Amino acid sequence: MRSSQASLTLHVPGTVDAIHPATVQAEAWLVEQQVSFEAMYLVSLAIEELVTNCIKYGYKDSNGHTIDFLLRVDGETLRLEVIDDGSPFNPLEAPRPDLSLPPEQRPIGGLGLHLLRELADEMRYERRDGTNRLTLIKGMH
Amino acid sequence: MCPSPMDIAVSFERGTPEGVPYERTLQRAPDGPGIPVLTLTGRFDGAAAAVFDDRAGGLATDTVHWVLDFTGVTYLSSLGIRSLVSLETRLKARDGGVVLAALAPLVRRVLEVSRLDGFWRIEPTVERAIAKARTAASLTPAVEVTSGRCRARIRRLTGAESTVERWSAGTLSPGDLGVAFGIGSLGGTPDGASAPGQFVSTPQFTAVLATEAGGITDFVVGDASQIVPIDVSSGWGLSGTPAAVVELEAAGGFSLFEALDELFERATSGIASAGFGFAALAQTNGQHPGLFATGIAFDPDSPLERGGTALPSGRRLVGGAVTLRKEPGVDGVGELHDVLRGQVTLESLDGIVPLSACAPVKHALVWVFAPREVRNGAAKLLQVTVEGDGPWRPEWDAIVRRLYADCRSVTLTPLHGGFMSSTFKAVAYDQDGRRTLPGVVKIGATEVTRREVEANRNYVSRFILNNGTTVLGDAQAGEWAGLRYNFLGINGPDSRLVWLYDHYQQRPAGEVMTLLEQVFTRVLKPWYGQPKWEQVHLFRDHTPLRLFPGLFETAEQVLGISADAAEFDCPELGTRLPNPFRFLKHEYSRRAGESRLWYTAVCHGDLNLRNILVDERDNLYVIDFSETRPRNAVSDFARMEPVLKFEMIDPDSDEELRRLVEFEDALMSVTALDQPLPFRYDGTDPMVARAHAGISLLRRCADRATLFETDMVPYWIALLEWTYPVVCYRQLSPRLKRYAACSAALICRSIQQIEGRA
Repeated sequence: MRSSQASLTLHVPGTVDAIHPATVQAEAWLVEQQVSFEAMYLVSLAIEELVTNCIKYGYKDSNGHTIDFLLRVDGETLRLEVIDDGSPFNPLEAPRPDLSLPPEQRPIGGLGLHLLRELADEMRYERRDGTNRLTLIKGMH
Repeated sequence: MCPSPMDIAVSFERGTPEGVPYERTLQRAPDGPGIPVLTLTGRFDGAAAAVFDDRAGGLATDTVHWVLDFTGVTYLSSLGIRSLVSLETRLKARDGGVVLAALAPLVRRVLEVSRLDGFWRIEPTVERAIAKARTAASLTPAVEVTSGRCRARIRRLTGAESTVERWSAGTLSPGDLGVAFGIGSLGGTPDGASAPGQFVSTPQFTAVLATEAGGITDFVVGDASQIVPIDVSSGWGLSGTPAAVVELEAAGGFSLFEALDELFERATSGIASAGFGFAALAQTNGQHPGLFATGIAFDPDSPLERGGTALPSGRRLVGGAVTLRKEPGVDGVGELHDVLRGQVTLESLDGIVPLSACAPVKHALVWVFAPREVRNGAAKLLQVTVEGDGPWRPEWDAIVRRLYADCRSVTLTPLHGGFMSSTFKAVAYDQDGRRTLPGVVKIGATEVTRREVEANRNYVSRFILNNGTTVLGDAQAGEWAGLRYNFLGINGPDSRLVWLYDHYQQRPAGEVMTLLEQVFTRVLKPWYGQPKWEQVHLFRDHTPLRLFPGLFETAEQVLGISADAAEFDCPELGTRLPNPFRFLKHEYSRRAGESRLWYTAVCHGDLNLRNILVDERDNLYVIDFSETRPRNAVSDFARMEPVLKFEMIDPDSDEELRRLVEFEDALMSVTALDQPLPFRYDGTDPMVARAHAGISLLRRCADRATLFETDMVPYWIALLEWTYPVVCYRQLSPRLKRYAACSAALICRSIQQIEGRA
């Protein structure tokens, strides 16, 4: 049986090379928690898309930044909190990609966030203490 | 630094173009260069995308139709999608494109939510993807022709094979029909068939003119069109692959059919046997900017069709057309079904018109068929034989044909049982005439079947696999849906499967108890052995009124007990008991919102001695999962208890009834699940002692499933769910129904005593 509550925190450096090891670590833990494939997919996607976004748009300086991923499995719900200290960015207010355009004419960018928004049950954002806090929630029944 | 997580292997494949029968491929080896197949394994993430771009960019091939085998891809991110879009864009510029094969459900979902699933051609298997790419690659270079009316660009297809099919009365799915037109009505309507009108059907959409509704056309589009059958009165269809794709253009407008009449031979080198067929998507100069038309131009002397419109050549034209509200794109040469999928939507479809009323055309894309033979449409359909005189509906034919699409014939024999559905034993023969393993087809209301398919996926294949059914397919037509599942013991086709019911009646009690115990402690242990502690609504979940809404009326008619009477007179025990029907009528609704913490587990929902099968080596198999779901963990044990009493025992005298009610009184006298059951019975029916042993076992197993809890109330409420309905069962004697009513009254008394309301 799934334990009633468990959590994992990952400190992921804001570099492309950090994505793969972080994903491997998250997935190993999620397998132990027996979460659904869909929830696991969402976590992988969140790590890749959000780290990539931060590298591209998040920082005005070139200091080494870390993005924190807090994973929590509570009964039938997976909760993923993503905290970064980059420039204020509310993904819920970001322009949505125009999906009515033919694919070859769509502007680059925005698709990753769109996927997260679609695959998660719920997405929340908060700017607190100079950090962006994005929460993704996914039920697993 | 991590190595690339995705592996890419490249091969070149020579499949067979789609729609070409296997025998023909032996005579005519596929020509042309092989199709590049990129087999991807691993995660298609940002790192993989960079590797993919490199590899795809450097691939030395002139072929512009590629297959990407996604069988091994578990993950696709936005960067992966971007690589795929850029490859498709590059190949499209050279009239080619990618076919994606074998997408995992989540990968497909990612493409869907990106609204990209229509951008690529997607096929379920690599073989079909290669066939699709081969078909596209077999288009020869265009030949430009200028006829009197318009400019024509003709691209012949190599390896084309097609057939004209004549349809007579029958219920058919659009998949059966191919590209077709004729007279019919939408099938599967609850209130019977409407009057037939003209129809046009393709695998992408169905259009039917509803004559009653003043000339309104009904449309069904996309996946939905596969589940709404057509009641065909008569019609013609085209199946197979076209011989050429022709682009016609003249800004001033021209008659599409006269232009085609001139071009048929040139486009196809005149290989047709009885006439030519076509499917056309066009931009018009008329009131409606778009048009889809399909038809067959029969040779002037063909005996097949005397009606239709005469063309200048003397050919007789029959067909049907649908006007479109939007101008369709007709530039890119593509496969008919792909183009229709992209260009024809529910919003663009307008109405059915006869070919004679079609407006002049300015630009059209036409798929020209040169059929080699004309045959009766029924010849290509799976032959369905149903034995016995049981009920059978026309929609069920369409369901069975889809379930057995890979077979040539199937024979169905009705099986006993199935409360909500009809069940058949199915023996099918494959395309080569080999007998396949026997299976079971179950057809019922869409909702019931959907529940069973889901329960099989969620609770059977993942928990009890070898001791349950394996669903091999499901299909829907109208309000009905069917599923096909295996039904074999461990010894394969030689297994002899018998209901546990028969064993229970015939074998020594000890052996029967061992079988029963195995069901609960071994076969279904993965369900009952993993209870969860959570809120349950006992009264709401266990009401018998959902399945037996007429219960109160029946009780009043059969037993003369009104649900409004305060008490239940029980001369059998010389006492008065609480009226169980009053309890059901008033307490259940009053306490429907009441919840409590209790154990839940996956439960079968209707476990009885006919849903458990035994083979010759005492292996056990559980079937019929339409009610399976997580609920009160003791539900299945409490469901079985009335089976052992009311289905196995029948009092033949009032004296015997009295003895049984005493027996029942003892069964209901305990106040906890772990208390030993007293046995009080002074009659001679051996099935009563057997029931006592069985019920003792059930209560013991229920106690085990609820760990340290011994509260009887959840068991009593679950027991009532299946004790009340006995009064509604048709074959049972009035005395047995009275026995069940007494039993219900005794349970109610026990509940009230425990709850302190005595």
